[in-house]
Amino acid sequence: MTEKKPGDTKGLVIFIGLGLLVIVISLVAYNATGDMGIEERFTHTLGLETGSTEADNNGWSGIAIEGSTWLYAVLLGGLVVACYLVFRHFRI
Amino acid sequence: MAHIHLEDGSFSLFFVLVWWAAAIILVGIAIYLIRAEKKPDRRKITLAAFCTAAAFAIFQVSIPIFGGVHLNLTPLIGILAGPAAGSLVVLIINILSSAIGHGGWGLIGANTLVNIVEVVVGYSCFRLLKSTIPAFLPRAGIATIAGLLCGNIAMILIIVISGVQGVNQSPGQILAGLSLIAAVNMGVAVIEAFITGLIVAYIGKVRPDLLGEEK
Repeated sequence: MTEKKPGDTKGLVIFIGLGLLVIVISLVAYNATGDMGIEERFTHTLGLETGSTEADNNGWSGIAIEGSTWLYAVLLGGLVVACYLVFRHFRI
Repeated sequence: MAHIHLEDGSFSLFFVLVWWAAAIILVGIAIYLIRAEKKPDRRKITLAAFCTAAAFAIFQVSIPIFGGVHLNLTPLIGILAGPAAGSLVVLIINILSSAIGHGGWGLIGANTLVNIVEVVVGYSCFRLLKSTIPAFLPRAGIATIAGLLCGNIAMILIIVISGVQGVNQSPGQILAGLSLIAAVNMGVAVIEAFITGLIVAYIGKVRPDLLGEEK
């Protein structure tokens, strides 16, 4: 069992308090701007022409990959291989 | 999170070059600091590689909160890899992100600067709060919120200074609009702070040496 240090509770209280404050401010801003994706929010705020919306390819879950999904898989696969090689080489 | 979601051509060529030059200078300093170390830290190199892969993966996933946003994990990169290696990590992530169509090529410099701010502030807060808040979860959480807040401020400043081509709004109107975007972004920062806190708390429990702390 880890021993609780004096600043632990204080830190947690500060973190939770800060988090709640930020969420309240964020919800107010969200209600003011309306429901839209981050790219739409940018173009709407700056008064630019909007292209396709994120809602177009979000699927049933709402979670989507931004940009090209095929290239994403290729690059991520390459990074995973690179990580494996670095891990093998340096043995942390 | 704090990432300039504009296409190529949004900034004038002059400001594209200005932000690229500023990013190259900072990355150059980071490379110099890494090379100045007498013995390269193998753990840090491996951690930086893992951070690059994890952050690139999470960077592209649009989560349906507040209309659709993505996490960055940049303060976590700062905490784990440090500010010097972290600066290189965010440059690579931004280049790879542009390669798949997330963010314009011309905005890599500006976005790298925004992310470097998040990395450096996240790292600094985590270290500075060590004596005041010893517990990893709240310390990493607060550092993340601070890092992402500063990243959002950097993002707003870069856009207001650069201006956006084809936009007829005054800098005051742009500032007001972007402040609302930053405020919405910060709601997601709390979620990212909690995730970062949990990851750092776990690493701190099993391998505190990776955080540069004693058991």
